[in-house]
Amino acid sequence: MNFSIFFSMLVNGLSMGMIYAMIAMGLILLIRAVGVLNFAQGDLLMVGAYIACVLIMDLSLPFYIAIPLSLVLYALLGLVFMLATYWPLRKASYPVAPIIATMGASLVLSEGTMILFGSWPRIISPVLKNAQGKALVINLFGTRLQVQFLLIIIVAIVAMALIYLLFEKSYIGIMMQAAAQDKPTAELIGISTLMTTAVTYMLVVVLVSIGGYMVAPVYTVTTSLSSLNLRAFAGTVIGGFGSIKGAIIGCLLVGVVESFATIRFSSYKDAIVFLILIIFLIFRPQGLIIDKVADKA
Amino acid sequence: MDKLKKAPKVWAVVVFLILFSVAVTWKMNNYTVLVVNMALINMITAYGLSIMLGMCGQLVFSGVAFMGIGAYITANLCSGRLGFYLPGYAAVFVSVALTGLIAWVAGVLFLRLKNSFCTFATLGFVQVLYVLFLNYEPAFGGPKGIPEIRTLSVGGFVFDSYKKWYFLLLGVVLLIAFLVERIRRTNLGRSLASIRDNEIAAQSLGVNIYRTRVIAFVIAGAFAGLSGSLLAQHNRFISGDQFSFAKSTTIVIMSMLGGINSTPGIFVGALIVTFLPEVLRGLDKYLMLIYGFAVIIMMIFMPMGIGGAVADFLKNMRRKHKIKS
Amino acid sequence: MMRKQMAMILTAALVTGMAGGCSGKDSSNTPSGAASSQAQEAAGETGKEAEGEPAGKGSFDGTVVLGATAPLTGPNQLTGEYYVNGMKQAVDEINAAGGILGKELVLDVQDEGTDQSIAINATIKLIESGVPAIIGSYFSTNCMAVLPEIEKNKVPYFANGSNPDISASENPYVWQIRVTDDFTGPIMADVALNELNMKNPAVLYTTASSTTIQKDNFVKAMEERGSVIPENNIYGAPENESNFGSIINQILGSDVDGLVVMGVSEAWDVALAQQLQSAGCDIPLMGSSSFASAPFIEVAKDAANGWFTVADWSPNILGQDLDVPERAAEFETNYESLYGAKSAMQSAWGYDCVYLFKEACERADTTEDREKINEAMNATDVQGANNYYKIYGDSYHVMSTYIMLCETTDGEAVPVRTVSFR
Repeated sequence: MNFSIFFSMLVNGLSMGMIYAMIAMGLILLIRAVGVLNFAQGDLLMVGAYIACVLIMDLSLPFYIAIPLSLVLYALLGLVFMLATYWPLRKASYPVAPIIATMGASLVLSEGTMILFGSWPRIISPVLKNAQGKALVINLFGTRLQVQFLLIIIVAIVAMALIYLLFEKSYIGIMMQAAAQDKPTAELIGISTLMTTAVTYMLVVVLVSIGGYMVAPVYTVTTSLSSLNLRAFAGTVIGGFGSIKGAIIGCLLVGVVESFATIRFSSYKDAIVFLILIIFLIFRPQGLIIDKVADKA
Repeated sequence: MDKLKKAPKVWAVVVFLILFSVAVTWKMNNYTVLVVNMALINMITAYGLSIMLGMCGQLVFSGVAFMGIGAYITANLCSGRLGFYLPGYAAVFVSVALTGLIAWVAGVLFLRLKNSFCTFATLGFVQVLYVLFLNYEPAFGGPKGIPEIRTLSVGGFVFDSYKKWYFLLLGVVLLIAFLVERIRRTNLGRSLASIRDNEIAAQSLGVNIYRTRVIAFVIAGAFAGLSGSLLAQHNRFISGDQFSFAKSTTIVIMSMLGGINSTPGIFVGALIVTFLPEVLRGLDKYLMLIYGFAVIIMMIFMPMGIGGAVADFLKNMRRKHKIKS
Repeated sequence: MMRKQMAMILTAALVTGMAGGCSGKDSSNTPSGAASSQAQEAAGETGKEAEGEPAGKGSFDGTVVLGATAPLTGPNQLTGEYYVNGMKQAVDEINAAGGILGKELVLDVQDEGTDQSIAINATIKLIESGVPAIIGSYFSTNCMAVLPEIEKNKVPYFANGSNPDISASENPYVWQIRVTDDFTGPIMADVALNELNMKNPAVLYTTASSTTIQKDNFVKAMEERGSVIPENNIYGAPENESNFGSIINQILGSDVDGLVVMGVSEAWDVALAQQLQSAGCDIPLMGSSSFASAPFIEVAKDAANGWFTVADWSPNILGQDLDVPERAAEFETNYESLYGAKSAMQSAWGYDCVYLFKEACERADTTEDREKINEAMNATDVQGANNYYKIYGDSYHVMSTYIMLCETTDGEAVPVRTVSFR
């Protein structure tokens, strides 16, 4: 294998890893805030891709309208998702109930999309196009590279950095952490847990939906986009459950392993990813990075 | 006193089963019996989950993986792929024993992990095995699956119709349900419940948490192996797509719907989940959507499933009765 | 309290719903009940078609219910629709021409869903309702899964999977109408070597049963023709794969002179074609049947151009000076006027199966006796829309005769020539 192939596979792996990382970051934010393991995360990503596809391809809205509009729709989706799967269940006597509810939501989202849009894949035009309206390609280190892959990496880093700053450094973020750690006290000092959880859910859904929009030009828009969820789970665990930094590293690792696994074992690549997950769990269950927040789910 | 109180419940179950069996033999055609049989097979795995999730409070997805292992062991032994045929009943025993052994190894590794970590490990296990089932030809027939599995026969009696299978499967399910009820009342069951409710307290009472959980996991795995072995001989063809992660979630939903801690509840839950797609065939396009909504609504209003709701209702009635009298 | 009540209502609703459903099924499962409801439905369908047909439905002497299974839900529902469309077209044509032996033909299509246990259920349901024959799945694993039941219940079954194991099991009631993968492999090898000049191609296949067998046979045939394909030029990708980036990079980065793809689902094909195009692929491309299908070309748009396909069927046979059977052109013309779109290969299969059934009935002079109809299938010798069907001695119950070589240009899979392999 020469360097140019190595390089292109690396970029491919990293960009997929970034998508997993966006799913994973949302996953961890939800676990921290409300202790729910969200099995519908991949379906939310898929719905995000469909929303973008409808706005940009079907309604052919110009970019500067489509993007803010889709962000608003993503946030609304998050709010609805929260009101349906978490809020009525927050005091459930059985801790697994909200998790099972997300499984139900996963079915609703994927089947609803299938009914609305059919099972056929749709094509969404890439963000950056060349003169003929095709995906823009550049030559780098002797290999032709779709710019979309690089764009995925950049957008993912920016989006995750913004949300990280919002949660870890801003006043709102501290409020939310307070609400997550001690609900009664937070309510006592005037932080509405309804508000903080709603905001968390909205941000999480916006984040994964952006991931969906970014990955759609490469993957085509299909309901099978939701299967990315499982690989994000793997990355989350490898990174150390509960740590955002760890999850991002874990997801990048998953993406890269998956990319390079095609060299010899292309049909077994999923098995390899999950084998790594199991090996990590057995030999280093605390993950790559140990975080202060313990497992709440 | 205790006996008297329990008696009507037991009788209700017995009467229900008799009526159900009569209905199966007299009223239903092969197609309906087939659907019931599939429900019974899934139920065995669901009972395994009820030990892990209901008694021990640990969500695991591995049931389907062990079901697959059991099915493929039987398929290899009973299809002549290895150059010999083992009698069906012997294959069942071998499958259950081997699956239990594999479950023990997996359990020793996975159950050192707690809660979500363990859930993830079992999820990974399902994925790895699913890919292997679908692709590794020497052991699992690869994408082609394993055809021509011999059907079960015991001493000249061949289970060659769905109705014969129904009685066998019902017997096995009752045995398993009885076992689950027994386990609930033994030391093991009580240790599991104590781990679920308060791990630290359990530890201080001298419960060996790790060992207890591994034992429960092995029992659940052996149940799943049994159901897989029966599935292989019932359908006579096995391929990997029956053992996907999606199937695991179906099993989980099945158990939750019926009531994870209720032995008759799971029976009803599995029947409903398996029957619903068949009953609603006209609506099949919307079926899974309805199903998803149903799961969310269930979790909001009756998280302990049908079994839990009925038990609550009975308790309420009894309390009211007491207040009145 | 509110919660409790709600819970009870839910329980009651679920239980009664199930009970109601069960009893409902019992009644509808009796052959007459199922037939009558289906008949009404079909009568409505034919009513539209047979407007100017005075010899219409009034004169039928009873009905024949032909069973069929197709994916009506799940990810394959779109091709399932094409399949059913083809069957319906044949049924309408047959009824307009007086039905089978004076009886009206009615279709009973059951959903085979997403996994094979549902497919088994659907098939058993049809067998129980007393249908004289079943048009089966076009997925090989589903066909394989129902084989034991078909043998036990002795009902003629048209298997549209292409896995040769389906007929190799020598089940006397199973009729495989498609070109099986053991034939496709060597044909693909010939085309690759002689026409596309691929001496050292890369191979990419879906890890599903039929495509894996196709790949094995292709690789074997290439080896026999002196071109050994090294192991690391063979790539497998699961059916749900949609990121081919790393595989494409490796293929384009190696010294291969072509790419041969065996795909099973159009969604998979679209993602691959799209990404190959984006990656600036400039080597010759050859694909299996699904790369010539109308829905694939429709979605993939110009990414579909430039593909050579060894295809079961191409809808682009009209208005060109091509050597295609009249039957095929007739089918396509009618399909397009009926549904306002091009047909897919599934439509042609479904269409042909209905006609094969009709002719077997006429030869056997019965529409009920499964055994006689099955017996009569042996004498099949007919040109269908999709293929020429005949029983050959060389492989058990595989009835197809030729396959088409197509080249996709300007959004049309144009047939280059037919390859007869028998």
